Amino acid sequence: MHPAAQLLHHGGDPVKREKPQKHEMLWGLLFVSPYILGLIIFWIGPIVAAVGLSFTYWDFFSAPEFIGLTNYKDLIRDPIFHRSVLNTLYYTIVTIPASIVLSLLLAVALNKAIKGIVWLRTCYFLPYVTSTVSVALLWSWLYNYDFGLLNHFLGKLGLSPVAWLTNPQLALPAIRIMSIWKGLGYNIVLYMAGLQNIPQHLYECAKIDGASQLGIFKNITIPLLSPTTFFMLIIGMIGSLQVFEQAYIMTGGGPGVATYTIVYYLWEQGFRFSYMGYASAMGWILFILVFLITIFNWKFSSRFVHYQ
Amino acid sequence: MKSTNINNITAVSSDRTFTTLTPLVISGVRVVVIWANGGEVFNEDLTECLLEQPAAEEAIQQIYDWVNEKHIAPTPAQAESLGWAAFATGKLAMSFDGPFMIALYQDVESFQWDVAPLPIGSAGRATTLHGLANVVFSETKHPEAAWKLAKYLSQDNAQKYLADNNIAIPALTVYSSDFFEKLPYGNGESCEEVFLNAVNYARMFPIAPHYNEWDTEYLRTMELVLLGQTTPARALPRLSQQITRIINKP
Repeated sequence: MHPAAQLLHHGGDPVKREKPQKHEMLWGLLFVSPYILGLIIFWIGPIVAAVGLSFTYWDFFSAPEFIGLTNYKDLIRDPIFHRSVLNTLYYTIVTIPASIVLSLLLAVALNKAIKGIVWLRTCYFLPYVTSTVSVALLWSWLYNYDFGLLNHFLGKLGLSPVAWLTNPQLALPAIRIMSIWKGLGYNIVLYMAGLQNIPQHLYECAKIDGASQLGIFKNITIPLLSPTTFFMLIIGMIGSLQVFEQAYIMTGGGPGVATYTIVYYLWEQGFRFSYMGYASAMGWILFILVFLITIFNWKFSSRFVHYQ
Repeated sequence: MKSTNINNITAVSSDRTFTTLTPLVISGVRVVVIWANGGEVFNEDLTECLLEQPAAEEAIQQIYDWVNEKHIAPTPAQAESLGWAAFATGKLAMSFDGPFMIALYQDVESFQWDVAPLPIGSAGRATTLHGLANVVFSETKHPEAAWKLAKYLSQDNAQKYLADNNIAIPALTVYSSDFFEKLPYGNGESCEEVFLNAVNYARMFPIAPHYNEWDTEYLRTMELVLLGQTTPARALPRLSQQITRIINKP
């Protein structure tokens, strides 16, 4: 082949690339095989099994019995499932924006080189690395009607104690507060990384042009942090739509069905009542919900995400 | 302590926080109040829930009144702090319990307690009989070994062990008295009298199919009743329908 043609053929690279040898591929596959095996056994396998189970009635003790779309039809008519979807969406819609706004403000505040700032940052990050079960138990005690710290402080202010976890109107907000508090650290760290990536000359130019702090924050900081915000939105939504431990530990889904979430109801149907087929169908509906919301966010991200 | 009429339960001495823990949170005992009032939870063949019938509704209204009118039983918010050992820790004056709690109460030092039959209702005495049953799974792969174990558990050594450790009153009556021997307050005789006599008017706890599911449905609804979000009269008809649907599932 003419050398010029070779350049064109190989994209301008005059050195012909050699295909990996067969034994090199085998070594490569061998190194990634533990991960692939784990992926197949613990991820893809259960997902495929769940698809199949969602079309069956299975109670662990007898063989699965094919029932077609009955589980899905029953879910559409199930008022508790409707309620758990609403609770989950309501939880997500409030928790994510609140978490993002608070963590942004705190990240801006913590992004300063003052004495003790490392200690403060650690304090904010600690809840994130603590297990959700431990945090939920702790907050259960904080919310306790008779002995909780929150009611204690309310008493000091002359106010009556509040039934945080046993009032149907307050139980879900109480769980949200705990979740926001726990998740702040992670978001703060992401925002701080984002803040440090913003070129300083932009701030300097803005100051020279006489921009106010609020103007700088609104027109420089927020737009340039939008990729980070978008990432938090997606990850936060995926996590919030699967909220479980908080409802399980703090309220058991109650009072009534006030804190039933999709995953809590899925657990109850599958592992308490042994309706594994029904629970699998619920899992797939949750997957579709998460998928659609994520696609929706991606589609509209170009309107508010600005990449440098 | 003498038995009392169920309608006469009122606040007792001030050194105890509440008179009694609402039996709605104790699944094995809540039916007692219904039966004592002449009501039923299910029909005979366990295919229909009868909670919406007047006698049962009246019984649940009584429990509602204990919490929200007479204030002798804790609300769900207050029950949060009580814990499962509320009686043993002095937060309750009375507790709807059974012989299964004796082992715990015996371990609590300086705790003075006694036993009385459950209060009489308008239809007389009622209590549930649960028992520890040993069952062999019909599809077990080891039927002989399973049968051997079940047989051992019903024989002398195992029955005496149950009695000596206050796990349960043994089914072999020759060892029944052993259960009460170690009770510390000279009340062994009266405990024995109360529990053994109760067998005469006890009924099996109604285990309709899909117990976990209908029990959860029941507790969910009753929680809202106790919180004052709804009344027994409004909640029970719908609850009965839901439980009937659940127990008739395949």
